[in-house]
Amino acid sequence: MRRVLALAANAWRENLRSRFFLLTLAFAGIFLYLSFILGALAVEQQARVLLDFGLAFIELMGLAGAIYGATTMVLRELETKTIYLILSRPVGRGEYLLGRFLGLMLSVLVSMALMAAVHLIMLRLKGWSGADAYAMAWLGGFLKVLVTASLTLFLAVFSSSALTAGVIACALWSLGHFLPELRFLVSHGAPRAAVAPLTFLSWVVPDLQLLNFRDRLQTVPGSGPEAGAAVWLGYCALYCAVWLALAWGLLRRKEL
Amino acid sequence: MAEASALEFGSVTKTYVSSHLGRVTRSRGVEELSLGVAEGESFGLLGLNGSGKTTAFKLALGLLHPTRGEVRVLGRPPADAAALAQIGFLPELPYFYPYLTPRESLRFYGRLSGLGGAELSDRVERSLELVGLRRDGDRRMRDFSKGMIQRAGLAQAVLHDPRLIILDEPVSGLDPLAVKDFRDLLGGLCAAGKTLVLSSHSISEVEKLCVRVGVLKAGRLVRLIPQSEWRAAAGGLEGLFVETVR
Amino acid sequence: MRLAAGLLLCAVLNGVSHRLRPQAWPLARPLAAQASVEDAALFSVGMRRLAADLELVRLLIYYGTPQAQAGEALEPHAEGARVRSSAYPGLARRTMRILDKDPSFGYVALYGAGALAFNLNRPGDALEVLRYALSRDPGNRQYLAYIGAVGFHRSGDERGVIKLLEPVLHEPDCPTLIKHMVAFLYVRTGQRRQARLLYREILETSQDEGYRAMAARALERLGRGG
Repeated sequence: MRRVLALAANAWRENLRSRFFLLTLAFAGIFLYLSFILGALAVEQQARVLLDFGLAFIELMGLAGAIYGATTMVLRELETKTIYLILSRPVGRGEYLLGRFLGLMLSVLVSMALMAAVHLIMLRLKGWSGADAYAMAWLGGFLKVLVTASLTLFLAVFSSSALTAGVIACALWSLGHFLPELRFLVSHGAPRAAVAPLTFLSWVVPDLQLLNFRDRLQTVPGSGPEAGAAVWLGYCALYCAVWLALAWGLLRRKEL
Repeated sequence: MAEASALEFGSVTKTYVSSHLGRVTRSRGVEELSLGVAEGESFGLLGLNGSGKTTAFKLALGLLHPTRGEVRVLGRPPADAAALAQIGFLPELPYFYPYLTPRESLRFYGRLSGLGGAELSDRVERSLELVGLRRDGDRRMRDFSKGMIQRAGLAQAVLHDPRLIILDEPVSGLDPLAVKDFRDLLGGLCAAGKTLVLSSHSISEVEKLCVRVGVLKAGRLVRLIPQSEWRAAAGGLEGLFVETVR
Repeated sequence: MRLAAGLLLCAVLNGVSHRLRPQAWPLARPLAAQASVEDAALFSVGMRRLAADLELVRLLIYYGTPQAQAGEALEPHAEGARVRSSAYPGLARRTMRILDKDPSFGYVALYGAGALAFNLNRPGDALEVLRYALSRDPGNRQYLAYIGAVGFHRSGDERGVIKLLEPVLHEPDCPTLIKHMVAFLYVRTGQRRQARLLYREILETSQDEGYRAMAARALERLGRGG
């Protein structure tokens, strides 16, 4: 575990000193300002518009960072050969992947938290209060980014192409939000053979709608958060574990 | 296989297989490589470009898997954690994280090698001192020259006081002064009883550092030359090497 | 083999997540042909609420832009203004479209229904909007009160309208439009003290400059005894 933590800390430190944070924060500043302006158009619903725009943007910035990090992290180390100095030490490939993944997600977590802090200050200025709902929506966003990043890491190791992995990850991000509709399509009407690929996807892509608390801040009865924290946290943990284990299986066989 | 061997290749063949659009291409890395390096020995691997030197090193470190045959490092399979903890490796053109300083990098690699606390700090400082980087220990490595990177590479290779040190082209691209520093440093390691396995295109350096040399040609070990043989030869090691690979 | 095992585990996890949410939310309508490219893009990244917000901004711009024709009122929100009842024909449809995207967006239903019933004098459209909202959020107390109030308004019972709307005036998503209308009815029914209190509340809490200005004018008139 010490090695995993050392790898995570190293990834975190590198991200901290690269342009990752600076860019994230610059974009966040610009976008939060724009949502402040747009919010004014909603007159009595300014706070709601500012809330929704901000949360959505924070999530998308987190996603962009996570997909970029997950697609390039291992491939860049293979390309620059920095991986040699790590794997020629008593570091298992599973430890390597886990450490790098934790470091990346720590960077994403901190950048999303910084953006959320600025966002909350702006919301307070607009007289909005609702820290609990905000925390849930933000956490849901982070968990969505987390499970997508684990899948992306697998795709990067599998395809050996950052671009391919990134494009597929974005497509899966979309599908993950359409999962209820996807299941509806699969179970209603269409011939079984025609929807076979969709059926497969409906069982494999991450159920991001499950974690999309942001879209259910105020809910109508019967369609709100459906399960306790243990269930959706467990879902995320297991889902990440599956894809990280598969990525490890691939990396273990990979020749460097 | 002899038990006192630090590094042992037993009829090892490595074939690289790549496929693109269904077309499979095979290329040879090493072929039927059988070689033993004893503990405490300083051994040089010579060969032209593409002769299989780096492949042999990667096989020893478990970065590649042999197609056939067996590799043992310090009596264990390659990539075994206990074996890797006793190996120091300097790759050809080592790469570091540009945003880190040598001190930070060494602390990171030290932790990966299982060091910690005061011992880690002490080893980091000693390694920086050894390679002459102490004054630049807190500069980010993106500003480093090739020679300084190579020094940092050597520092990380000896940081954890390994028994076996594998060096792939350790003096490539260094200025004459740095080459001398490196030679003195590696000589000191040999004197301290470390096992040294190095490859180099600089035959004179190998001649000065090693007690035995293996020549690889097209992936095959074609000749083993003990120090006594090249000392007795008119053209020295260079003459024997040229004669072998032509 | 490992890949197959991994995929199987994902399938099990998704099976569990499916059981947690037996009904697709909110289903069918977003997939209908009228969904715009923008909606599809926002839905595909899980941003239904944001799609509803953008549609709200458009609705406010639509309803805030005077549909001026010769001799017609330019200020649809002003008390007593005579706005052609056929103006803003798309108001009900736009309101319901927002509710499709976010059924919990109560403000929109109340704003749209209030404007249709009390400003544009189209109680039928208002009731359609409220029933639509109620079908997506059954048991919503505010919707039920509004339905009753629209009924009273249709029959000219101003005190009945006040009685039904008073309990929901201080709900956080009650539109200023409704408060303003009730304050206006207070004046018409001679309840000047309540009117003054409500106009003062609008002046102090509303984020809509137009309504604040109208409340200030109304308070001035009430102060003069007008």
